Amino acid sequence: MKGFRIVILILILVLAGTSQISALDVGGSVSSATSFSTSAGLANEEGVGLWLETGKSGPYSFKTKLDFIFSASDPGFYFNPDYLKLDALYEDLEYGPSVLATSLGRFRMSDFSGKIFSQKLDGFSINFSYPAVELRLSAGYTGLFFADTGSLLTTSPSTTMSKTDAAQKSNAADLFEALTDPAAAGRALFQSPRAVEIITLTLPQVLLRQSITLSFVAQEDMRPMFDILSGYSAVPAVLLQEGESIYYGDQGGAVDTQYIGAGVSGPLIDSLYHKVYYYFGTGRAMSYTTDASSATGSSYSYDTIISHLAGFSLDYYMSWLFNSKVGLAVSFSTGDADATTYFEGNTSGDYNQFLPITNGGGGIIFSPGISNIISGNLSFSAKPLENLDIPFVSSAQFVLNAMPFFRTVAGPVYVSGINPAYTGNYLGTEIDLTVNLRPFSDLGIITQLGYFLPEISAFTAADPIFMAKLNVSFSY
Amino acid sequence: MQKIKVFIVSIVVFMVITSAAISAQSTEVVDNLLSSETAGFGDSVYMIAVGSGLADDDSVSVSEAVVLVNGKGWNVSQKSADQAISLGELSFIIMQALDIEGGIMYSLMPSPRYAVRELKFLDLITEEAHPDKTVSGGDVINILSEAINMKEAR
Repeated sequence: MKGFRIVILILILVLAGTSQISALDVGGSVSSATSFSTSAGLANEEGVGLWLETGKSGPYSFKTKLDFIFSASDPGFYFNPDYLKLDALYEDLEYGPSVLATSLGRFRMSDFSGKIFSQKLDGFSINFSYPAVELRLSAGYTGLFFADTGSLLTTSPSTTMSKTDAAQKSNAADLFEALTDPAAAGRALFQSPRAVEIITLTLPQVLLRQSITLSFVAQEDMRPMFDILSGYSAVPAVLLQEGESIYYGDQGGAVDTQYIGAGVSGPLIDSLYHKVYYYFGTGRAMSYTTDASSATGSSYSYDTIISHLAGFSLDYYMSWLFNSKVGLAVSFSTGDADATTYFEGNTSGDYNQFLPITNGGGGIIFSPGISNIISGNLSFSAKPLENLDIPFVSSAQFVLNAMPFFRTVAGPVYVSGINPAYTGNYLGTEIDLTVNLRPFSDLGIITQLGYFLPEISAFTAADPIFMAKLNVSFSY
Repeated sequence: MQKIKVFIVSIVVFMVITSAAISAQSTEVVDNLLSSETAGFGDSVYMIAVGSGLADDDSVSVSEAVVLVNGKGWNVSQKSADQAISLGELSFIIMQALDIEGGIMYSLMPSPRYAVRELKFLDLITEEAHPDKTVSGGDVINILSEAINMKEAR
């Protein structure tokens, strides 16, 4: 509850600080999301969002949005402060950068590739724009996000990097449960407590209209600094210390990671654009390895993470063919062949599993993220009806994705159900069709159909999975 | 310099699209708008009336254009010519003068607020879209010329 009080206090302070701003706009949205899959059945959530925005008052502007969600399939209510952002923009400065932009509050942050970190964060961002270079410094904290805000309408942060994180997540309660259900006492209300820092230096169009980006990302497990487990929840897990000789299946140590990366993006020929990126990942994670001095023959110790992520994408835009685009994206991330579990499972040598801060990513059904995965995505999008004078549907956009997934090495990946006896690399292919429809400016309809065809021997239950999703939102 | 170039290009586009022979009256209004950080209600309404074909630039003055729009029953704020026009009022008058269809909420409750959101959705407003925001003369010309462009293309 301590974190919740902090959120409310920040909200009150920011609203008080912006009370002099005369231009105020308040609105809302109503959303409905329904999904059906052959593996998970039917799910439905209905949501109401309320937002408030101030106009610019000098360099300042403020906006916030709160979501209230009702889950019909898993009856319950969720509350989610979606964003809360105080922006300041200083232009034509006499000294220093030509433009200085700052943001404070809860808002989406991302590294340049969007692969390491891409989610909302409580923190700040400062952007210095010079004629030849752009520097962005961002930092924030994940531990004030509610752990459970539903599954269909909101995309709550997913920062699970250790066994302790996984235990906290599996023992999470939503705010409604925490306030009304005595049985929820002691369960985790918030996400794992991690500090994240992102430094991005961009040299825009330095040569042949190519932009070069250098990036440094770091995250620290804050549990060693805070008595977080006793303060925020009573998850029966404490961080294991180095030298512990008894094995605990669902407990581990702190996981701290750092990433140094670079990328190049820009046009190649005609309407063909590319993006190439690479990240070196390092840090520390606990492992249980052989120790002759231990009474059990093994003990816990911190291993150094040595991992890699690389990828590229090509996009060809064809405005002459129904505003279509053909895209190809490939990503490669290292895994650890001797790891016994996805989190902190290394058994010998360096820990080679690439650990992004934001989990998941892939198709609407199979989303193993970018850890021990080689994945491709061949996509095609078009608006084939835009030249036809058909009411409501002429703006429809169709997007088709075909995504094969491979393990880099025969080690763990961030999905459940992998057959432990499987030694191959191919995991399966997913094909998704998305139709974005905007019949009116204030009404959006997204329909998604997905089909995942798994490699039979790779999974303990290897039936093909079909999924359909419908998301309707109306703003007012 | 970049902003000035954008304004000049916008004016030329506007002239070509409307095929309007620029009169001394129009030239004076355009000059006024381009030199004003805060666009006046009269100058803005005059440009909308001429650009949409509601009035011939030779036949009306700025004050007559204000009377013309005020008399349309468009539920627009009754302002004098020298008062500032807000982004909401500008959008609402453009929507009605050019007969641009809005979303569900605009159809149910036509107002400056939903007009701004419609023009933002149509990418005619590219910056902050707040109905109470004041606009520069350059903004008026840009938004109006883009709206006429879009209407002509449909």
